[in-house]
Amino acid sequence: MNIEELKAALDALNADSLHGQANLDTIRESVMESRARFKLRDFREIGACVFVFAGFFAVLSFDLPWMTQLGAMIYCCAAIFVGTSIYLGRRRHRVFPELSVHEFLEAEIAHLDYQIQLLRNVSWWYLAPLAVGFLMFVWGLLPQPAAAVVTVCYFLLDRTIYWLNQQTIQLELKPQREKLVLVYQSLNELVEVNPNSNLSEE
Amino acid sequence: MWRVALAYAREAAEDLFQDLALQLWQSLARFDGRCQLTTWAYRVHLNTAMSWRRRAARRRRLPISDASTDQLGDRAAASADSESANLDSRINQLLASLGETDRAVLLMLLDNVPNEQIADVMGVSEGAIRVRLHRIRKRIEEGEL
Repeated sequence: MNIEELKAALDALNADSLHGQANLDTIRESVMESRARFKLRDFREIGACVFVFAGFFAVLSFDLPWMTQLGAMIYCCAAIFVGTSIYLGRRRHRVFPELSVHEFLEAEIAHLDYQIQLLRNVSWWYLAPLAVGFLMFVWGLLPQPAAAVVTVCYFLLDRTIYWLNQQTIQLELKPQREKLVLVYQSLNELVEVNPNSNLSEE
Repeated sequence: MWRVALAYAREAAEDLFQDLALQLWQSLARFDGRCQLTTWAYRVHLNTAMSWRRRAARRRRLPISDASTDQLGDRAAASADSESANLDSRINQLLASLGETDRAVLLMLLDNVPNEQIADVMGVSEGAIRVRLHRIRKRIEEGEL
């Protein structure tokens, strides 16, 4: 088979299967759905931050121990910090499909690197600020035995979240990155070897 | 667009086709005229298709391989009582044997896209594309693929 025969064969196959016509109504619906989904996701995350902020900010107006009030303030600041970081990070690392394949792969790798970095440091930018605020709030509010129980439970929850994040890095993000890097490297080589096929070895 | 969908997701071409159309629609607002519209459309299609395959492989917990196209090829070969089934099987095996970027280059070659434009879509030099195309042609003609 040569290229011309292949071209003819593919054209014949395409002609056989031209039932995949663009349905503009379906596409328009998909666009609207995807926009609504993104709006809902942003609204939900911002809503959660506002809810947490409002709840703990309201505590400041009550006559409570200083440690509880300080904890509430820290928690409010942490909620704003975490929400803003997620929101800005998502926008800063958007990957647009109209880039060249080379640039698109670079952008996808950079996006994955950013996600890996976020999850790797999740203790510092996400869990720790919330934990400090929450535990100060609890220790100022509750008697010591109860606060100790809450602290242990919170610590276990915190470590579970951390462990799940590290698992995601090892099992999902790193393998994804390795595969992307392979494709990226293959672009700069003259011959691409498909690692999944023994037919393409040269 | 349909050809890209077939080449990258034979078993779910309709789904990928919808996704390609969706991405094209959404990206249209960002088209700034700095490249040809066809170059831009190829970029959107190929990047979306390659991403789509990677996501699909992750969802199914499969390696990013051509298992699906291999299976389709085998199935078609098993029931190869007609010429078109053989052809289908042959094309599936050919596509399955190519890596992601070679597949993209081959698709554009089959669409008579000039080398300069292929280089623009891929983001590499025209010389590199020429050499790559020469190798792909050679491998196809020698029956290696």
